[in-house]
Order: sequence, then structure tokens, then C-alpha cells
Amino acid sequence: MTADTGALLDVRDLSVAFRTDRGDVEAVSGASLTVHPGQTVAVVGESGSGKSTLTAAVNRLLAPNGRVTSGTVTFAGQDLLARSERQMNAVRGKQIGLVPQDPMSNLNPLRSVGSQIAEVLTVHKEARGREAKRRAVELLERVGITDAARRYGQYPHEFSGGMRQRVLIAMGLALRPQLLIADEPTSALDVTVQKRVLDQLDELTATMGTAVLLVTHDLALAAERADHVVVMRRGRVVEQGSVHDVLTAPTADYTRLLIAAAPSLATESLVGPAAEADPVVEVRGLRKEYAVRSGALGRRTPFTAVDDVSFTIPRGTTVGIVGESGSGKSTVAKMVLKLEDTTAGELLFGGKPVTGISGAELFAFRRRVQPVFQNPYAALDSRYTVGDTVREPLDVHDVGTPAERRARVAELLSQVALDPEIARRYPHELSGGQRQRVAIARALALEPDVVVLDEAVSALDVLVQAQILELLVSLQQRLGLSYLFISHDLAVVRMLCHVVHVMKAGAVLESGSPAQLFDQPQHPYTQALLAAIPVGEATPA
Amino acid sequence: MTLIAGALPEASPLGTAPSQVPLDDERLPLRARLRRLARPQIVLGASVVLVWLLVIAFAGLLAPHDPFAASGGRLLPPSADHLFGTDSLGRDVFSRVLHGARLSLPVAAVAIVLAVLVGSLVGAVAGFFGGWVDAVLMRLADITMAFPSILLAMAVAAALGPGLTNAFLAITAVWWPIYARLVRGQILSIKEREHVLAARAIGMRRTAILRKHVLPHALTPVSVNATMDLGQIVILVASLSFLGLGALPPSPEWGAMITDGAANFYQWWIAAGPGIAMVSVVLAVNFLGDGLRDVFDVKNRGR
Repeated sequence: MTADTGALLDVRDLSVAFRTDRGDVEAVSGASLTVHPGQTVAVVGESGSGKSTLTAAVNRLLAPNGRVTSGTVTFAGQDLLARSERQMNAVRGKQIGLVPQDPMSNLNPLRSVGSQIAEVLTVHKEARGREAKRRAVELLERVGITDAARRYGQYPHEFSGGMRQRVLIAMGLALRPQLLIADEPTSALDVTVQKRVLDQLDELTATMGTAVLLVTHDLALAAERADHVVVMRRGRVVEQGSVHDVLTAPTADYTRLLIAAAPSLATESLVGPAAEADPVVEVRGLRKEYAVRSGALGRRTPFTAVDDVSFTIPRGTTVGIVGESGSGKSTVAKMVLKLEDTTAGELLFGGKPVTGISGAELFAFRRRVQPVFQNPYAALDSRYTVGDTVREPLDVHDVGTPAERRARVAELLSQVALDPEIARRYPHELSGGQRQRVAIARALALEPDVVVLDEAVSALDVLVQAQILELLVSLQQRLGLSYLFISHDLAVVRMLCHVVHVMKAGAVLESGSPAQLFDQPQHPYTQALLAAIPVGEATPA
Repeated sequence: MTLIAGALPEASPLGTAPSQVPLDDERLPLRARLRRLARPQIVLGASVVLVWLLVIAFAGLLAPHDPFAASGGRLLPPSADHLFGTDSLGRDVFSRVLHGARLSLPVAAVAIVLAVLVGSLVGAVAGFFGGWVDAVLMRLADITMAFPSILLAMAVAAALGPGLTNAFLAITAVWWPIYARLVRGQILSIKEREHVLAARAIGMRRTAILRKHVLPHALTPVSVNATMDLGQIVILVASLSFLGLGALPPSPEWGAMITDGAANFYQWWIAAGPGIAMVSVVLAVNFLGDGLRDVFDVKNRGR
């Protein structure tokens, strides 16, 4: 292929390697893509696919141990790889804007939000002093921040996550660059906020005629927002083309798998209708208050994290709780696990109250209810082997002889479809999906009745997530487990749950079967949540 | 508490994934771990420390003269026979420096180990159990740290009476709050990790969780800081001896030797010998500590 002359950005056969303790690791191998003026191109891939590295290489912002080993990057006719660092500084911000990933760490907490936007203008000598401030206020208004003149002087901690991301977008677009690189711009945001932020971004780039290189792990989001999709896997571009072509007629097997595995609101439920059964867990009027220090004197004021939540978990079913960050759903999970005290309300297990139990009763309760947490990297103690980790519950509860425990560990590992040989390995030697399987095996070791899954699949790539969901369903059927499934992802909840509760600001707003809730949502908040999910269809431009 | 929906490993920038050194305790293959330590700072620091360890082991063989008996004239300047000259009693300063290493360095090492043990225990209990236990222990630490370390060490040593044993007790009394704070801070963050929650959900006893799943993760920054502090402790031991509150004459402790040197101001070599020895030790452990800190990316200094 020859270089595309009409292209704004033309990346040809780019390879990037990182120097590590274990030798050179190639993160991107021979990737090519083009972005035309005004076009939105999405780079889609799982973690480790090299998508972020590829875009970092375009902007020449690779980590110090990374280097481009071959290929070319041509931007508006200039060879970016041949430019000096000083020349690149003139390109960055001015011609190529960047919206980084994490709105929490990418703003300086010690400086006002407005001055950080104004700085972009002064650094590139576009404006100074009062003029820079006027333009920064205008930019804040354009990214949809109300009362921008007052907000200009506020600090990042006074802004919510969504607003910080808008500020980063304002900084990225301050100099009207020809190209904006947005690296997972909304991954840390709740789905309703994500929609508003992306709508704003779309509108702004459309009016400014800015081309966008959007990096995302979410295929549906890419499909909804981009004109052109580049699918990456293990550092290689496996497929690219127009959104329509890639989604309707994928040529690569991997893309087909990805499309099939991505949960959407159209995905078939993995579980049948709930059978009638006795409740194993009953929660009545659960309430949790935290003392929060506020003001100069650090006076403690109560903050209600969970407010009058009631639900039951019938034996052998999955009860889902969905909500955005701060909705109190994880606090509910911790209270059901009795890892967090309740302020008020009652918790019944097998018909018996367990709200205030301690000592031997609590110890016995622990055998019946076990957790699986979100982060597969933090859930296992890195200092112990997989075998030690899975055996630990048996040791603590003194189950069986050492030989029996060893046999049980092997059995548990094969139950979660892992090779029992893995028992000798350490967590860092395993993939995210394998670690989460180990966490599930540990939770099952004591043969519990209830497993609390707190965002247990949220951190996994979509293909792995699909496998873990299937595993959870088959374990439920084989072992008669009951699940409390906490998630922010409505599509996943819909696939797995028999009953769903929607939480916001500590309260349950709406409950029902997935069919009722997702097809005829009654509460406006549920409707807003559903509307915000990227559906994977390009909106007509 | 509530998790940020969607703030996932996916959300961590991939570019850094292969490049970052694991923060505390990821297990790496031994060779990779050794290669990480192959920095000039660490190699230089470790070599000097090794030399001093050999001196401690073989001081009797390496010293050319008896450290306690006169060997030639008084106050002789450095020469081939007396590398660091002789002192006011005609003793060979070089031999005394070598023998002194057997006193100064082990005392400093024992003092730091004691301070780390006491401080870690206090910090772990305060951080893990929280509440009023935490408040009481940490205020105690604050009060201790409010005194300049040399002043408090002097007061303790003076109260206990002179002698090397009392010197390291005094140093422990001064130094433990640094480790208490450091460990407490570590524990506070570690105890919220998911693997600790999982251990609680199993029904493990709190002390067992602390011992098995929390404390081991706090040890890397503690050992890095202990290495860096060793230099300061060497100086503190010598300072106490210099003031007559540590080792007593005729002991060849370095601080006590410098006191001798102060009495014979124009015979600079008497103080220079132990001074050079101390500088080399302090520099070496600082290099070592700095290098280790860079490798393990320890930021928290405890004070």
C-alpha cells in the first residue's frame, strides 16, 4: 500500500517494543491505520492489545522504556517520528489534542480548573492573561459546564468525575487541533455520564471539524460513535473497515468472537425463569450510615450510604443489584457478607436472624456466605500459591485431613475449569480470567449456599467475561448456589439474574424480573440507564 | 466501600503494563529480581558494606597492631606502619578503627532492628485495629517525635547510665515512632485490599489475617527505610559515645575515639581515622537505601 495522500494521519507498519526485566516485549507489531480529516476512527481491543500504545506512539508519548522499532507516522504530511522533541511540543496540543483516560489523576489538584485550561493557550502563545481566561471560560461553556465564569476558579476536587472529563476535553480541544486522541475517555465514568460526555464530544468535534482517534475496549461504544473501526489483538490489527462492514460482515474470526461475546440488551438470558423456592437470605429495611468529617472543625455528620433496602434471595436463584458508583450497592454486598456492620434493619439467613451475631455463630455463618470481588489482581494474596489460597478456607475451618484438603483443592480447581497443576503457581503467573476462577474456587471451598459477586466480571475482557458468566451459571445449576450479583453493567445483569433491583443514592428504585425491568422500565432513572447503554448502532451522521 | 463502576484494569494505560516494576511484592523470577538490583548505586553501596562485614569478621587478623596497647611512639602522624597514625597513648588508630567496627556497626544494626520491631508492632496494631488503640499509640508516637532525636536519646542514655547496651536502648526509644507511622500507613491501605476482605469472609481470626495477609505486604518499604536509617543510627551511636553517654574509654568505639581526637586538636589523624570510617559506612548504606528505594518505588518516608 502506498501512503494515503488525503489522510490526516497515516500510520504505516508501526511496531513498538518495550524494554523490560524479561527482555524486549513487542506491544505493537506492524499496525497500520489512517484517519481522514473530520473522521472518527475507533481503535478497539482487549487489555494488552496494544491499542493505547499505538496512540501513544503517534503522539510520541511512549513510556521511557518504549521505542518505535519500525514503521512511519505521517501527520498532515509531516513525518512525526523524525521530529525532535521540541518540534513535537509544537504539534502536541496545537495540532494533535489529547484526552487522557483517568479524570481523577490528570488534573493538577493544586491549581484551579480554569487556569489549567488557560495554560494550554499560553504555552502555545495563543492568548495571554485576560484573553486566555476569557477563552478558557468560553471552552468550559462549550463542554457543557454551567456557570463557567464561577467554575473557572474552582479546583478539581470540587468537580465530579464527568465534569473533570469535560475539562480534559476542553483542554484537548482548546487549540482546535486537527486531530483529537481520546484514550478510553469515558471508561471510568458511569454509563449515564458517559453518554452525556460523549454526546458533547461528538457535537464539538463535528462543529470544529476535528478528526478523532478513539481508543476503547467497548465495541458497542465504538460502533455507536465512530465511522471507521480498527480491531486490534496482541499488538496486531486484525481487521479494519467501516463500522457497518465490520459489525455486519466481520472477516476476522476474532472480531466475530468479540461481537458474539459482547453482552448487549439483546443478548439471550443465560438463566431460565426463577423457580419458586424458599428465601435463603432475607434483607429487611437495611440501612447504613457513615460518619463523615466535614468543615474546619472536623465535625462528624452522618452520611446515609444505604437507606431502607429490602429484598430476598430465593434458594438457587440469582438476584442482581444494579446501580452507578455511589449508589450503595457494594455496601449492601458487604453488609450481606457481614463485613460491614448495619446501622439499622434486619438480615435473615435461612429464616434465622443473623444481624447481631458474633463468635462461633458468625464463624458458622461465614461458611454459608462467600464473596467474589471485582479486581482479579487484588483478590488473591500475591505471596501465596493458588493451592494455598484455595486451601486456606479449609485450613481455617479445619475441614478434613491434609490429604483430603489437597484432593479437595484439585477438585475445586477442576470445578472452575482450571488445570489442578495450577495450584503450584503464583497469582502473577496467571491471567485475569484465571485469577478470577481461582477466586471463585476459593469462594466455593466451604460449599456455601450463597455467593456474593461484587462486580465479579466487570474487570474482565469481554471474551473472558463471557466464559466466567457461563461458569457461574453452570456452577449454580450443579451446586444449587444462590447468587447476589452486584454490577453496574445492565447487559450482564440481564443475562445472569432472575430478579433485579435498581439502586440509586442508597435506595432501591425499582425491582422486577429482567424481562419486566428491561422491556418496560417504569422508573425514569431505569429508563435513563437503559437509554445510555451504547447499543452498537451507528447514529446517522 | 463503593467501587467505581468501570474503573477497571482495562482503564489502566496499557503502555505502562510491561514497563512498571511491581510496587511491593510481586514475585519475579530470581534472575529478573537480581537484574533489577544491578544498579551502580546498589553495587557500590553493597560492596562497601561487604568490606565492612569482612572487617567485623576478621578485625583481629586484619589489624596490624593491638588496639589497646601502645605500639610505638605517641601521637605519630600517619605512616606506612601506622596508616592512621597513633593516639595520645601510642595506640595504632587504624587497628582501633578496625576493631571499633565490631562495636559501632553491630550496635547500630541491633538498634535499627529493635526500632523496626517495636515500631512495626505498634504501627500494625494501631493501623489494623484502629479506634482508641490507634489514637493512643499514635499520640504517643507524635509526642516522641516532637523531641529532637539526639536530645531524647541523650536524656534516655543519661537516665539509664553510660554503656553501649543503654545506647541502643536509647536509640530504639527515639526511633520506633518512624516505623510505627510508616507501618500504620501501609496497613491502613493494605487492610482494605480485596484479598484481606476475602480472608475476613472466610472467618479467619484478625490476628492471623494481620500476620499472614497484611504485615508481609508492608515489609518492603520498612526494609528500604531501615537501610537508609542505618547510616543515621551509626552517627547517633557515635554521637552518644562522643558525649560520653555510649561506649567508654578505652573502648575503640568510633565516637569515643573522636572524643580523644578532640583533646588533641593538632593531631588531626586521631579523629580523621574513625571519621573516614563513618563517612564510608554512612555513604554506603545511603547509596544502598536510595537504590533500593528506586527499585521498589517506595515513597512513604513515615515522617
